[in-house]
Amino acid sequence: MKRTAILTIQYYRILLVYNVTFTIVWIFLALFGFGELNAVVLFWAKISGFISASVLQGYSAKESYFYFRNAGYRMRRIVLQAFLMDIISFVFAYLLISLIIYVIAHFKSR
Amino acid sequence: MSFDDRKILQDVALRCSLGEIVGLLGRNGSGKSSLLKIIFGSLKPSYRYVSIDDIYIYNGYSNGSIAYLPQHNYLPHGIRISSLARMLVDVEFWDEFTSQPVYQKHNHKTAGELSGGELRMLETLMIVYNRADFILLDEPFTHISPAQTEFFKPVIKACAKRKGIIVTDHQYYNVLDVADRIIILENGCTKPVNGVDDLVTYRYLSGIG
Repeated sequence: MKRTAILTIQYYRILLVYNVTFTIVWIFLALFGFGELNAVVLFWAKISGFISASVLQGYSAKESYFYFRNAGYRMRRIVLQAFLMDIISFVFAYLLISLIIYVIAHFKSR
Repeated sequence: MSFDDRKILQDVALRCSLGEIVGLLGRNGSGKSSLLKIIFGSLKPSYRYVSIDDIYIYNGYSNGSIAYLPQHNYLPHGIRISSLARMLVDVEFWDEFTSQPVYQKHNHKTAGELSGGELRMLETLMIVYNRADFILLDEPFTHISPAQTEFFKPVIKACAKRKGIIVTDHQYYNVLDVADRIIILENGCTKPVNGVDDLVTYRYLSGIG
């Protein structure tokens, strides 16, 4: 379990720059396309960002897959776990930011 | 297995036991690397049968029974060598692995901060000390200096006391040095090599100097 978590975090870390960059790009594209930002659009941008980053990683640094395979893991499993980690992080960050915005708005209105 | 209708591997049978080093030789494009990837499970041919103790193995790597050193660098950049090594190296041999000078010198660095030779040494050591019972080494003597090659030969031989190893390299004399027996890939088929003369017969060598 611990090994699986460490390998997933390592893959997530390798992907991080691509992931953040693509997510921002998709947010901007969504903003221009839909004209507004809401939870659904952000969620869609997040998923698209992760998929784009994974595809680019697969093309540009596929050799590193042998590291995970030599650790005894299939790439499909690592990518899926990293995806779940990404979604959970996003939902947590979204809820946290929403809560902070709500609290600030609440105190301003008093 | 074929590329553009050219059959690369068609009549291949390879057996490796624990405690044995099998040397795999063959000319460029004969399919040595493809064969190792097929055994490892990262390349899917139209037909393959790989078994350990007569139990069919779908993916050599997925249950950690086979480790593979590819020709190219495989360690991901941006993560410290010590963190990567902990995931690959068998805990039983951790002390032996960490006593290697190249690890002691570079364990706090990332793969991107190392020279090609240093990285190759660490990558090879991480595979040799992997927890897998069977080790596939694709060109372990390439991209390293002659001194490093001489360092690796006893390490590989010591590893073979507890594991089965298949090694391939164009530096055939190094393969002959470490291997218990030699197999050659010729026209997509595996053939046993009983002496250096056979390498000439199979046109792997043009002659014996």
